[in-house]
Amino acid sequence: MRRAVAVAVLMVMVLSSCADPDQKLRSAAAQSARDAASEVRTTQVAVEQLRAHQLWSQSAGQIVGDAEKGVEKATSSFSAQQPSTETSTRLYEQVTKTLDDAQTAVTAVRIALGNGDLAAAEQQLTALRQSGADLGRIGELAK
Amino acid sequence: MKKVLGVTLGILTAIGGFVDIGDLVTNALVGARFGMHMAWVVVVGVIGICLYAEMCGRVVAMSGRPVFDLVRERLGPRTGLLTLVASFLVTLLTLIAEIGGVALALELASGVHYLLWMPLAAFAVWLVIWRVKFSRLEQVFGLLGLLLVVFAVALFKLGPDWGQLLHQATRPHPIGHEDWATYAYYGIALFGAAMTPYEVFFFSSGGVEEKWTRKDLVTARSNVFVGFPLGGLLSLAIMGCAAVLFLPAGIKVETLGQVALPVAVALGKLGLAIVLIGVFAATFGAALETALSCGYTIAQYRGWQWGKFVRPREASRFHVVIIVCLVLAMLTLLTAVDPVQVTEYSVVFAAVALPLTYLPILIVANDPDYVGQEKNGPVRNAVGLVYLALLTVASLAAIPLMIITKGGQ
Repeated sequence: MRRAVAVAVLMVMVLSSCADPDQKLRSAAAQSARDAASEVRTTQVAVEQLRAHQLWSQSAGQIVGDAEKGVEKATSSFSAQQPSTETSTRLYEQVTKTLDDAQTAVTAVRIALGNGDLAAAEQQLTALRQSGADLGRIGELAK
Repeated sequence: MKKVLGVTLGILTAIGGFVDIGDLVTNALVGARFGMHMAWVVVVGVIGICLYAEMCGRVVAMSGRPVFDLVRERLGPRTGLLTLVASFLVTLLTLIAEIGGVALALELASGVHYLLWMPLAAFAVWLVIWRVKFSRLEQVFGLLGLLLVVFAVALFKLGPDWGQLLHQATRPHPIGHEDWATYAYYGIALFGAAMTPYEVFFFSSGGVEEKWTRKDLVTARSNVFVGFPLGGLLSLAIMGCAAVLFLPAGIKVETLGQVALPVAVALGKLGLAIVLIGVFAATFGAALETALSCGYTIAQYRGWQWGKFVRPREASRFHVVIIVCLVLAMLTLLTAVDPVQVTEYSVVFAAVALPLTYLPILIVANDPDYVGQEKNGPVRNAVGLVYLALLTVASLAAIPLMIITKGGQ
């Protein structure tokens, strides 16, 4: 009985260590992209509602500040990955760039709202929509 | 007329008091990730809390004593201690989440960081418990909590495809990138949020505070059978708002600001103001209830004088427990732990403690020494046992699922 358990544990360990590194990175990329997309779209909704006079500026600033922290978390979580093949290195660079773009856009909105500059925040809407769409596509890479 | 007014007031208070930070966060989170595919869990949870809260109300009305007092007497100090430890720790965790919720609501309204609001929130909770009459504090915050009806108004205003929502509600399965493990994990969290242990301790101790007798059984039952289900509808409205606005956009709910956002989208600044007052009242009211419940459970187990029906000087140890719990809650939140994450964990750990809370209630509600002729009938016992089995499954599965899904990620 003990031997069977030991063999089972060993098999699980071997199988998990043999997981396809490209697949592992795709999963991590998809997860981080979905997390970041959620924050980018939250920021987009906040700016659109602010523009429509549906939201107070301090509440919008608060929501966008929280979204910025969320994008940072998703970005740093993905940047800790270790690409080990040429394919995964390419994917790593592409996803990192997309996440960085998203973070830049959300940070720009946070700064604009902090300065009371709604026009500058509205200018980021196109970038936010583009980032959201790009991250959405990466999010579909894996379950 | 006075009686009808009392019953109506009790029902309204029960509706407003039903939703706390756990319900707010968990329902919005689940709605954003699963749409209405998990609405059935709210229905199951509401039936469960109605079943057991009614038993508690009946025990109090017939015996004049709170449930925890009887649990220790009926089941002995060891089993009582096990129930005490499990329920107290979960209630303390819930108190931390509620104080955090109050501070987050104030942050959203003012823009001032929640850590600065938090000591003030804890102090205000203590002050209200110390100074305000029990019935007054229950009614004021329960009625203000009714403002959360704004979620139902917002849901109508968002103009959802009702057929689509109904379609989701009748198909209980995970969607999109979600798997069954995550679905089950959040199902348990939602169940834990609906059946949080403090609710029954507060309900039964509140019955003693208000000196319920056999005559008050109608009031107790109307609060439970009308107030709680309507409170459950509020939970479904919160879930529905998130399902309509966030699910199609792929937005996950991780902050209190996101919970309130659908109301702003639907109703603008006025709606946002109302929802923030409602969230403040719901979390502040629940902070009062959880702080009192911490005091109730320990004082009733130890046989100390307790309650707000006596002067604080006469129930000094009861008040010391409340103060210590509030200080612990404040110190925990000062570590900058995310109150929303504390909330998510508190509802899951509540699920772990559920059988330890509800089994003793079922036993006491069957003891004619305490409830006389009003003991459980065969139908109530059968449904009670089915729920106990559900609670046990949820309790056993909660921690493994938390590990497998990495806390629902």
